[in-house]
Amino acid sequence: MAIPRHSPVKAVDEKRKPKHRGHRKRRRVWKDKHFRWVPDGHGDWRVQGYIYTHHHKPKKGHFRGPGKKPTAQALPGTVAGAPAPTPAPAVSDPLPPGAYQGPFGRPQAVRLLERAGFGAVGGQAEALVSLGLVGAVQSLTRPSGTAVLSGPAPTDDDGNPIAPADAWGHDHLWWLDRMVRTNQPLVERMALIFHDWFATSLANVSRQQQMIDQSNLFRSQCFGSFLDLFRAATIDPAMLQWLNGNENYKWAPNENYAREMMELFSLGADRGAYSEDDIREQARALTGWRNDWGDVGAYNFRFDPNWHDTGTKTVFGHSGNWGWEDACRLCVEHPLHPSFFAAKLWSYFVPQPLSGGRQDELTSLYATGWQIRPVLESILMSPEFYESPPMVKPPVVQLAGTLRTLGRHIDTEAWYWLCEEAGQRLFMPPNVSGWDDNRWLDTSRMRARWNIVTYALEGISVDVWGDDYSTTETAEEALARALASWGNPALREEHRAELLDLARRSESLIVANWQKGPLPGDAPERPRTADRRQPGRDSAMSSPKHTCCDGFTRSQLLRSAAAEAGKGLPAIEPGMPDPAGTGLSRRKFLSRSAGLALAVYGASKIPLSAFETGIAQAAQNDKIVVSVFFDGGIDALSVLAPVGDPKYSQLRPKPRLRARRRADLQGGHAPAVASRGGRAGDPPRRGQGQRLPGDRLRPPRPVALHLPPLLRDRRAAGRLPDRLARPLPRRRRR
Amino acid sequence: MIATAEKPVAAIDSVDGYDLWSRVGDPVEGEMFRSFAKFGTLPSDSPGMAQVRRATYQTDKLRQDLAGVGDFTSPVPYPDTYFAHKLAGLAAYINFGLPLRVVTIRAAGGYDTHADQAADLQSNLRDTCDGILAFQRDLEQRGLADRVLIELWSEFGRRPEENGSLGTDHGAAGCARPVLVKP
Repeated sequence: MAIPRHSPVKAVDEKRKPKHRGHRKRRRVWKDKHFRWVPDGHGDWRVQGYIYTHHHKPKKGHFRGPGKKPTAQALPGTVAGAPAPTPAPAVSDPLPPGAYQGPFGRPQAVRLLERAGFGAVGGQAEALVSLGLVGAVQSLTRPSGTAVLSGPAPTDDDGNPIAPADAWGHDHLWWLDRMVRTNQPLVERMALIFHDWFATSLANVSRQQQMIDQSNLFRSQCFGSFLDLFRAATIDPAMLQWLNGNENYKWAPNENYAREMMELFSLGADRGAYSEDDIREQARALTGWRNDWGDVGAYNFRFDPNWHDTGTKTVFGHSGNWGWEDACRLCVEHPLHPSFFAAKLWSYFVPQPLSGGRQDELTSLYATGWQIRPVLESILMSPEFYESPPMVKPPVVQLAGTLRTLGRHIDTEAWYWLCEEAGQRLFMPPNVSGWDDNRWLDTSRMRARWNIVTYALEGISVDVWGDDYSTTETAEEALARALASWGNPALREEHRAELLDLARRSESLIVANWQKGPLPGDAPERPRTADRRQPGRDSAMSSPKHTCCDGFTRSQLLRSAAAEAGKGLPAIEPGMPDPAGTGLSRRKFLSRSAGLALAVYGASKIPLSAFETGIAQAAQNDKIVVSVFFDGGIDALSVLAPVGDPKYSQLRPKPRLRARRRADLQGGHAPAVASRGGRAGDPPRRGQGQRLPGDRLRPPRPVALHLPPLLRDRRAAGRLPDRLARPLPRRRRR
Repeated sequence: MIATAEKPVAAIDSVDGYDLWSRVGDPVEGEMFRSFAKFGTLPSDSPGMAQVRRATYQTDKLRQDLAGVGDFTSPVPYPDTYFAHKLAGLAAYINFGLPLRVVTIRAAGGYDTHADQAADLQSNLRDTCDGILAFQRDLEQRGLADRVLIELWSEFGRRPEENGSLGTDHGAAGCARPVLVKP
């Protein structure tokens, strides 16, 4: 008889049960160590390590993200991993007056899903067609319940769950994953729109969780009242940090938020809607919000009546003891707000400016109650929406659509830096005016988009030696096969012709390679083509690249190219007017560029496009202007400080803000910039590489050791943003 | 981003290379990029499509132009910042003979100093100025300094009065400074 592994159960004597009172057992605590990047308060970043404590042993790969762990069960009937759209209401409303009257077929449904979602997968377009225009639009704008995410949960490259609140870049992956797996695509698109509208960047927000919370705010209120949304965004912790709402006291108002709430969020610049005085008064109305600072950054955001300016403020001619809620209300009640709102929301969906009767219609529709959904539905049903020319998709939208089409889920961290190179790192818009939807493409971003598609195709290839691959595949068959893998996107005729031509050209190259025959020592059973007319050719072929058809197929090649021509790559949906050299506002001017080198080719002396004719024909000895741009409006009085001027010390009473050094130049200016480069009167500088007096070149410093491996690699590849690429500074004492 | 009415603009992410990834082998890769370039030359019927076409064509052109630049070395030491690294690459590009006329580059850090201005401005300006100094020395070493004018500018200014959070708010006047070096 086997010996039982456990002793038999004994009856428990209730009286003898040990009592823990007085000698309580110490509870075991499990600790998880993490790190994250936090601003060090000096414009730089530092690594902050901190510890999670768990009071129960965490399961392997436990979820550290916000909220509940997303469920992984797939919905029945999903195609290629992408969820089915929400079922539409049984009875849809009648077609409103002024709506699109044309046929609502597959092309229209595809456009609706591309602009109000992330593209059509499987039978989604057909499902929308059967609902008709009104039903189709309402199935997107009136989703029921919370969104269902179907398919596998996102992971990093090692298969671990992502940590959106903690790991750098995982916040981007978290949102991208929602775009790929949600069954309420329009909610994600609207959240993205309001993320762009109330553009807030992690660059000045201390915790990633606060950015995620803000995006959830947009998700939950994206169809409701704009006034409610505006108010919620105004006191959102991320926004309070980003636009200094938490540093706006009655003693010294900070005008940052007051300006942007009117210029960018509700009224628009250069429309005569507000004056500089209105900005100052609004800043006073907004005073009172503050927070505490701790190891994890900013927390405990609250309204402190003692910090609020209770005096009378006059905004747009209305006087009263306004607070932050009034500040938002006054903007929304402003007669110029409805037209601003309608035109701005319109611009996300239609590449033509809003004008004429449509403008009046949308403006008055909105002005009745500041509700977002009716305006949105009206836009999505408007004839312009279906008849306007294509728009360029934002990179993240394009990637999400690509992944949905391929049935891929988030399994790599590469997406966040690839999207960054393509010009759209989520939670990090370039500045408070958001991304410029007119300027998604330049040589840098086009390259990134190409690379994104190439990366997305990883692991998805045709097995050239497999049984299901026909060795007699024709160019036409290869193209059909490649297009089928992209869900047979609508292709323009000229694109199809070029792709077919590519297939034929590559076929002839492949055949030529086959005819060269295999290398000596190759597998003998591979069929040898007899047609080798040049003796001794075998010995000349020493490079492996001359072997036959090394693992690549026409289908595979065409798949990349079809992505280019059809739905994947150059984002042919979307598209907008050219950037012109004129009429750029300061925001427009700034909004592009990830802060990297940009060069203009060509000038009057060179034929209009040296760029297009190439280097060889370019002039070699032209003058060059290198323009270094201080982003954000540099404080000129700190660059060249009028030290000793009594007015200066009066306006800058705090010593930390005042330059102290006496000027070397005549005229009483302390040249902060010039002093770095030596002084007037230094000896001529024609030294051959040695350091010169006045030079303050620092020797290269070693990279900070606590850069995590991922960032170290990216730094080596030159792909790290400025702030992260710099070595970490020594901690300064306050 | 610099925008021009008619001149094409080339933008690059990094000075360390401009490569388009590819999953196909040597004999056919060239054909694929030839088709890529062809897409850029097809006629376009809308502004959006024109934008895609132009970017496609220029991307392929730039890919070919920059293929020969490769790795670079600098004759002078540069500070170990990413901004300085970009300038080092730029000097090498100019030396290589790319048909550059105007180059814009973003200074290290940000300058919208609504709060805690003193610390931010000091470290960012230091990184920028150290980088530019090294760049100037590099150009002198390569004998290119006479061809290059460096200009520093900002898009707007800040008010003389400080605000309550050790910073300054937006103002009207700004500053621009060309770097002039005595021979």
